[in-house]
Amino acid sequence: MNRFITAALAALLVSGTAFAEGVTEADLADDQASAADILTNGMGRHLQRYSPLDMLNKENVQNLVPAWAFSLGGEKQRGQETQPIIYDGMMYITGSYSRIYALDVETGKEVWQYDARLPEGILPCCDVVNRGAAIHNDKIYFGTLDARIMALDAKTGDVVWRKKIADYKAGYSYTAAPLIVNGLVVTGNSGGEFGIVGEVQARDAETGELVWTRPVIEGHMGTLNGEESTMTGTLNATWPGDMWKTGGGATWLGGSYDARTDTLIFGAGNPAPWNSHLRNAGTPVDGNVGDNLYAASRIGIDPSNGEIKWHFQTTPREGWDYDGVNEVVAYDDREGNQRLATADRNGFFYVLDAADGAFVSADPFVKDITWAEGIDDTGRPIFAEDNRPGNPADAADGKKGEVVFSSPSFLGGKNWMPMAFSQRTGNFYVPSNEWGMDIWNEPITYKKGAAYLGSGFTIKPNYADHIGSLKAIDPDTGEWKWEFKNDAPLWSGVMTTAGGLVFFGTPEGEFIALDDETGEKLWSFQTGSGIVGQPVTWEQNGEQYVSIISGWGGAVPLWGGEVAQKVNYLNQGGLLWTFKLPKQLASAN
Amino acid sequence: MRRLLATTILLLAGLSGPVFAQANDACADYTPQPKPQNASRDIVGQELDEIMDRGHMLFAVYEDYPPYSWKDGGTPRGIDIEIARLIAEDIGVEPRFNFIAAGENLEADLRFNLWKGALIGGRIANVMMRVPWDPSFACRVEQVVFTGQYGGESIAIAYSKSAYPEEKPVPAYFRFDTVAVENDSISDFYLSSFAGGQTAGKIKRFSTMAAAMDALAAGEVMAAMGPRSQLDHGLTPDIGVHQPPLAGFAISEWTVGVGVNFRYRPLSYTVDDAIRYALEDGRIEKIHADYGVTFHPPER
Repeated sequence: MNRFITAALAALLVSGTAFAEGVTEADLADDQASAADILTNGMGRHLQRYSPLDMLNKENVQNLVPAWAFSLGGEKQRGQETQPIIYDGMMYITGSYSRIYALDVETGKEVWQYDARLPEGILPCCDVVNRGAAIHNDKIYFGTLDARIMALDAKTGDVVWRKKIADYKAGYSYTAAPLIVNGLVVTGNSGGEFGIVGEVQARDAETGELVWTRPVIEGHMGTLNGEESTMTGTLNATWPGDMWKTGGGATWLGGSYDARTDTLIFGAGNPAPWNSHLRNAGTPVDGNVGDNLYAASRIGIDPSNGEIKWHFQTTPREGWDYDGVNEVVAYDDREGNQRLATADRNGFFYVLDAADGAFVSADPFVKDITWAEGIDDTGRPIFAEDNRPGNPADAADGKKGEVVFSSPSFLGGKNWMPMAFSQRTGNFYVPSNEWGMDIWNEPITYKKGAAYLGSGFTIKPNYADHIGSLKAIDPDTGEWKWEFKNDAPLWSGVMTTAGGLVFFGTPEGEFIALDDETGEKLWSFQTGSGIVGQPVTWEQNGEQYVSIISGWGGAVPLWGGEVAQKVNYLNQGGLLWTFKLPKQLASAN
Repeated sequence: MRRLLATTILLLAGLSGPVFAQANDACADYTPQPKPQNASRDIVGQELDEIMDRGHMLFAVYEDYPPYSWKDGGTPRGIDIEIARLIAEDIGVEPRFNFIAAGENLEADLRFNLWKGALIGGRIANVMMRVPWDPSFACRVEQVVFTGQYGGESIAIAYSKSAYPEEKPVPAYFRFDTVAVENDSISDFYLSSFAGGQTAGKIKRFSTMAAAMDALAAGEVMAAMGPRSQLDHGLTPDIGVHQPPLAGFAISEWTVGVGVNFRYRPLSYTVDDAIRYALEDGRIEKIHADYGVTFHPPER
């Protein structure tokens, strides 16, 4: 009913007025095709990050020049991971420390800025980044580090509503870009290892009122319109005792929306506690009752009521911190099959059937995978049992436990940084990292003044000449078409265009365009600080524009070990760069 | 004695490099990391003279953490609060308190509160209370002086006297009987993996030890396992507490002291002296007794 009205209204707006009064569901659904705006994180809620624009292409990309730049200011320059939203003459970007800015997209001048007030002494689990905003109707939405979601007037920056997703004192935070579907703002949550539980929440975009919630760990009850709805999974099917109550599974990277099947797809993080031996997951058990569902899984959700339609667990019996949160991209393969693809932290690139999340194929997208010998016909890993981090009970003598080398590292073959799909080539472009970790049980550590059984890690590069590795992957065969190596680990998003270009950035500060068929570097620009943001491209006054934010930070500078040598000289920052291909240079090859 | 030895070895190792690394060198396992750029540009905290000039000093204490530190209707209370007052009195300044949330581990707490500052807001304290003393841990955090050991802590089991009228429960009992623990604590880890996971099914996890003790008092569980002081604090006439041998539990005891920024050595000596006097004349033992907590003399 609601959806019908929205759709009818959308039709009216589109046909009736030259200047839209606000962003409609129809506009969001059409985001990829409409080249003059960017209305969603992922440049389309399928998260393909593919632009149909080809004014800028392999022949003329060397003429791409800066148009303007914008400094985020502030005392603290750190970790800029935003993706710009562009609508009605404005660009909206979020900054670290829960800031949001509206800029005149023609000139780069600031129109308004809103700095969320954060509680003193707050300890956000997952650094101070923000990964972008969402837009709907006349409002712009973004989440803050104290685990709140807020709506602001897109024209003025005035706060319309502000709601609590979860209690920051209990260890929750929020860093992802919200997702808007059928007038609902849909969010996940972030949280450290404090016994939190991952959840997806949907709110009325106009009022902020909660419509439904869906915890992602079995045994917890969902809600719909303020009443209990259904239980997630089956109580104690795959968790021992009451451990499900604090089972982890933070949905910290947000989700995608597959309009073909009307399904939200969210990923859940690693189960808690960290060590698998404590969760009945350390050794194989009959009936897979130690799988710890739905941690380290992708979950298909009905957007109207929050019911789970299907799930696919990438890492059952998870024990390496392989969060299952990496984005799921909806696409059609070369034969026209409706598919979903995801490059998991665990090093495998999965293709699933869009209809029901059923397993289609999985192939490695990094060079060294030690924890599993492969993925079987059902999608379940063939575990290398001797590569599992040790049982803390074995180290109860108070000594450092046995050191196990596992690859990929706990930061994953791919972390949060989004990959892109090209409708032009039919390939995926996956920002990956070739690194492993030494991991051991470390009984001597402390928490809140008390002894604590921790784990020690050291991340190690697997190769001397590169950690970062951008790969073109054919999803039909799993074959790598080409690889672009980078010294430092990649931490930025990727974008493809109909002009045959693949854009991404490096921690060394280079913003780079590659040939989508060969991986050859066609253009690059030094932005002055490391790039961990997400590029976009759009058309304005008959010219093609590209934007990327530059500003080193995030979790990366905190790493020690051998990786530190590759990143600890990099300077932090906060500068949005906008480039354009001037008309007079568009045809000059 | 042990501390002196460890310090000597540290000095030797520092002067002569890894040649002197020995089996009893607590730091043998640790390789210092390269110093990161753009970190800690500013001087944080105050030296002893500045503290005396301005007449007050700031103590970082954990919030909502009875019997150690909590706010009772706005008034700071607890064992750590009283010991901090002794220190400030000895120096001759007014004590002030910063009630902090616990980070993911002690390294984070020390970074946020003593030597670098939090990512958002937060204040640098002159002294942080309830910092465990452990030579090999101290190696990993060079920016902090670990001193002023003022107590010991150990793991104990509290039990319902009616549920256990004769034999007191030991961990093997929890294959059959319910037991409350603080989620993700050392006791949780111990029982989750005890005897090949045989006790894992009977554990009830709570967000704090106080909540676990409330559940024991309410009869929801038959026993609770955690740090002795926290069990003592939650005792009722119907609850007993004992400390049976805990098989395979090597870190069931630890020493607690204070942390001070490594830049302010004179402050750390003064604080340590204040604590030593208060241990010698029984004031610290009395503070524990006042809160109904068994005092374990620290290893110094």
